Amino acid sequence: MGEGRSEILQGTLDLMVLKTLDAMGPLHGYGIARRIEQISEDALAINQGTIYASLVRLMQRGWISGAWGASENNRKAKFYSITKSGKKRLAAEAESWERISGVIGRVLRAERG
Amino acid sequence: MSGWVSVMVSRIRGWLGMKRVDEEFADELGSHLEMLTEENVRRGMAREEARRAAKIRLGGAEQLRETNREQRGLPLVETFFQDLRFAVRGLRNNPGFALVCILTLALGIGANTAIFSVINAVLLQQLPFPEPDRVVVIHRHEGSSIPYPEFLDLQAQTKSFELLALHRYDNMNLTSAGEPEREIVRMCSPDFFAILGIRPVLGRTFTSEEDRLGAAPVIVISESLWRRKFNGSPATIGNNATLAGQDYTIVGIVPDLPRQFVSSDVFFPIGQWAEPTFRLRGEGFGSVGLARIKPGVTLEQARVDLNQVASSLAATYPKEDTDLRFSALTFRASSIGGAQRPLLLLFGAVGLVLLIACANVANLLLARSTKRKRELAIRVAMGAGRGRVIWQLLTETSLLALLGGAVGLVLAIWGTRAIVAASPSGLLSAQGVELNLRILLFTAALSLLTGILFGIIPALKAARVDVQETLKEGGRGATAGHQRAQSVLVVSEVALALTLLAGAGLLIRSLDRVWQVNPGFDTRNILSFVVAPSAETASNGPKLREMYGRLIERLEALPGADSASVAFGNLPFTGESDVEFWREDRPKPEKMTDAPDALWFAVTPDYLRVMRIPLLHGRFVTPADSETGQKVVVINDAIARKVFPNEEPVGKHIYLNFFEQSAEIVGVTGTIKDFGLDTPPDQDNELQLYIPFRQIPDRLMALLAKNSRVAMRSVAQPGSIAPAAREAVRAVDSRQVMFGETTMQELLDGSMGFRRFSLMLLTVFAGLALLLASIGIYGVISNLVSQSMHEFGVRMALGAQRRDVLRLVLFRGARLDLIGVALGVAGGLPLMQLLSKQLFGVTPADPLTFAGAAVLLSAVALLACFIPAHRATRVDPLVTLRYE
Repeated sequence: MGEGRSEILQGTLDLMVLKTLDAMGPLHGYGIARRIEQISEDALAINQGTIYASLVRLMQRGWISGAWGASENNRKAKFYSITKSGKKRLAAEAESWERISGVIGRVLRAERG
Repeated sequence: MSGWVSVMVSRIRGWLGMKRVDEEFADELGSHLEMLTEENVRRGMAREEARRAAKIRLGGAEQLRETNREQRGLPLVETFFQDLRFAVRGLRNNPGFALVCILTLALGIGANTAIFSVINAVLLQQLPFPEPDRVVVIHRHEGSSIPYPEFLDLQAQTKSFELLALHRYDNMNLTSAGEPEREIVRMCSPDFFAILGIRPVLGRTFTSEEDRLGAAPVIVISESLWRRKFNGSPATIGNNATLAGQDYTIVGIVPDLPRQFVSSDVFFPIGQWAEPTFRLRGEGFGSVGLARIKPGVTLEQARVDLNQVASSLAATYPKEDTDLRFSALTFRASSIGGAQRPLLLLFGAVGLVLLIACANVANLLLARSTKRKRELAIRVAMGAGRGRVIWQLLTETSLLALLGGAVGLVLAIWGTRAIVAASPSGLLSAQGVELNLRILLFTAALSLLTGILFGIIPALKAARVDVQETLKEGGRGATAGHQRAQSVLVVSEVALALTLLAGAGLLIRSLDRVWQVNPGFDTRNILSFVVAPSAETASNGPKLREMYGRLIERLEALPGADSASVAFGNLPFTGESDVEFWREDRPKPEKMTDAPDALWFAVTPDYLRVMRIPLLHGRFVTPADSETGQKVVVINDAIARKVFPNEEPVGKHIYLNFFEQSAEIVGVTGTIKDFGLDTPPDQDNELQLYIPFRQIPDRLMALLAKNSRVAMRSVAQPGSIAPAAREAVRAVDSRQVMFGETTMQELLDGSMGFRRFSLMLLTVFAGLALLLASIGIYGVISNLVSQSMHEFGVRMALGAQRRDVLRLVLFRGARLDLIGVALGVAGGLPLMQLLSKQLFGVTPADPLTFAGAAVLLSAVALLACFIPAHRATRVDPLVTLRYE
């Protein structure tokens, strides 16, 4: 289960990054990591650095784009924003998740009956 | 998927600008760290502690940067270049090893490339016309020619062919343009040009109206003839040319085709040929069919179609066409002829040489990897996966292989030239085997394959290194596995080398046996040539007889001449004119195919003296046997045994179908090997008969004079008498041309040409194999000795003499050799069956040959062991007992 888990984790993380950028607008790496930690209520205890693997993947597929800018404290930071095709991808993935969770829900309820 | 493409694009860009990417990411990480630190400070931590906690939360920077680099770039390419640099360095540090490997590989790969060039030229050649696989050559009954009326029937009745043509060639003198020159004239149907995709450079080719008797005489000439004899002038079209005394209008110029295809300078419509016997159903005149199959029809279907027509013709013309069958081969297959099998066998043989070379290099690698074990163990200990190590080793071996291939290519270029020079004439041309893309690709692919082949085992073995064991001091036990591998490789090499030696040996013995065959006549000092009489003489029977009579007189009077004779019909090793005949005192055979068939020779009385064929019985042709006298014939021994068993043939009569006359048998001669020394004795092949040339009927005289030769026996070298003979020919009639001089010895050698060629190549390969195998044994035993120095030291300290040590080493070498030889014999015996068609007088399992090969190989192998064995005896026990 170990191997599969990291892949699922990868996919899930990518999805969460996309969602975050979609909801919050352009963010830097630190910001994205913080947000994900908050939302998952620290359930995903990973090093913040692992987010960068995800960001590279998403950038290479053209779903997010990055640009250098200034942070709140006027510090140099690289900001990422979701692209149009990224939004499409997000919508498709979300729909897919809905369907799966619906099916599983029904299966689980049926078991009891 | 476009996603995949954009990832690749981004990776390539990242790889190109990796330095900047890396620096940028370092900045990004730095800024992330700052922000995390700030957060911690806000939570109340001290600056130092905040920073430390932030680092932990972020993760290891180096690791993150490494991951980032791998994601953004092309890690495979990076590692490949890394490996490559490492490999180059490795080779530079071991130049001796590298050199030996590269040379060994160069020999193996080079030899293969050379043979491939030959195969490419002969078997895979590019035919210069469109859709060459639709072009077929049609013969009657496996090789016989097609009579003209039959061809017309084929044209009318077959349904599979888009275009159909008949063609034959003839010799004629061209007299209207400068010096009289003999030309090879190709008589052909108009479609001939279309089938071969030949378009006229100027003018046109024939129309179907011109392809019949009585039409206006026209010819088409080749470009080179046009430039040579007509100055390339455009006004040549419409001009006349005189061939064999007749005028023809030149209507077109066509480009030259490569000589090996359809070498002719003049083309003439076959339908116009006025020779009366041409339109008889019984005679083929050497005509061959050429056709282009309709699109959508397969070769098989075309063959079925042809043979259906054949059956219907057999029913309609039972006298001439019983059992009629046609054969159709693609143009490519018919021009390759019998060369395919021997060439493929040679390719297989040279492949074995490459395997031996690979085994040698693998051994060298194994020996070297023993020395590199520590280095590899350290790499594995430092975190390189075994997969990485294997890749790196394979990169090294691939580099070696490619370098070997490059040097091999150079060797191959030189080798191919040598092969072309030594090949029988007509088989190979220098342009055909030139370096081209296909050969280059072949060499590259072969090199890579070779690299993997010899590299994989050493690499796998090396990667299985036991880290613990090796890093401890003095680990020696692990070499046993390597030694076993080396022994296995050497034994295989010896086995392969034995097979090649045995093969070469068999071919050598076959050639020797062939040379011992008695040809039935004395081949030394015989000169033969063709006389092309003037047009006036050539068309007139009596004039021809008279001219030849005078010519023979003159020739015999020359100083240095022993005897001379006319030889119409055939001369040994050339020509295949045959005649059906039957006994007059028995009923005539129902079908022509039931009648015996003999090669005929129309000669003058001195023929037996020229050829030194023994006369067994009765008498030969004499001057008294003239055109007015009784018709006589002399048969050979084979006919006497087959047609007149246990009877006296002299005095009986036979009827000669082609000549349409009956003749009395006056004598019996010995049998000659007309088809070549290596034809198996077969009564049907060896029927031969002789008639006085003066008794050839007038109506056939002109036709047969075209393929007639003159044969002379000279006292000394036949070449020396040729100029005088030419003079004599001119003296008899200044319009005559003499050409085609050759000696019987040359013809005989020529008939052996391909056999000698294959033998030469196989011997070279066997020699290479012997060399490589002995180097292999030397290497392994040498290695063994180095490893065993300690052991020898102990033995000698315990009282062993030097010669005991010597014997020990030689024994080890001999054991490897003998196992290899045994395997070679076991494997070689069935393999030699493949050669059986090329052999003569020896069986594929000939014990003498195998024994000889085994002895030779073992002797060389033992010699190779001697040097390291000698080195072993030089051991000083005191030194080695301290040596580690």
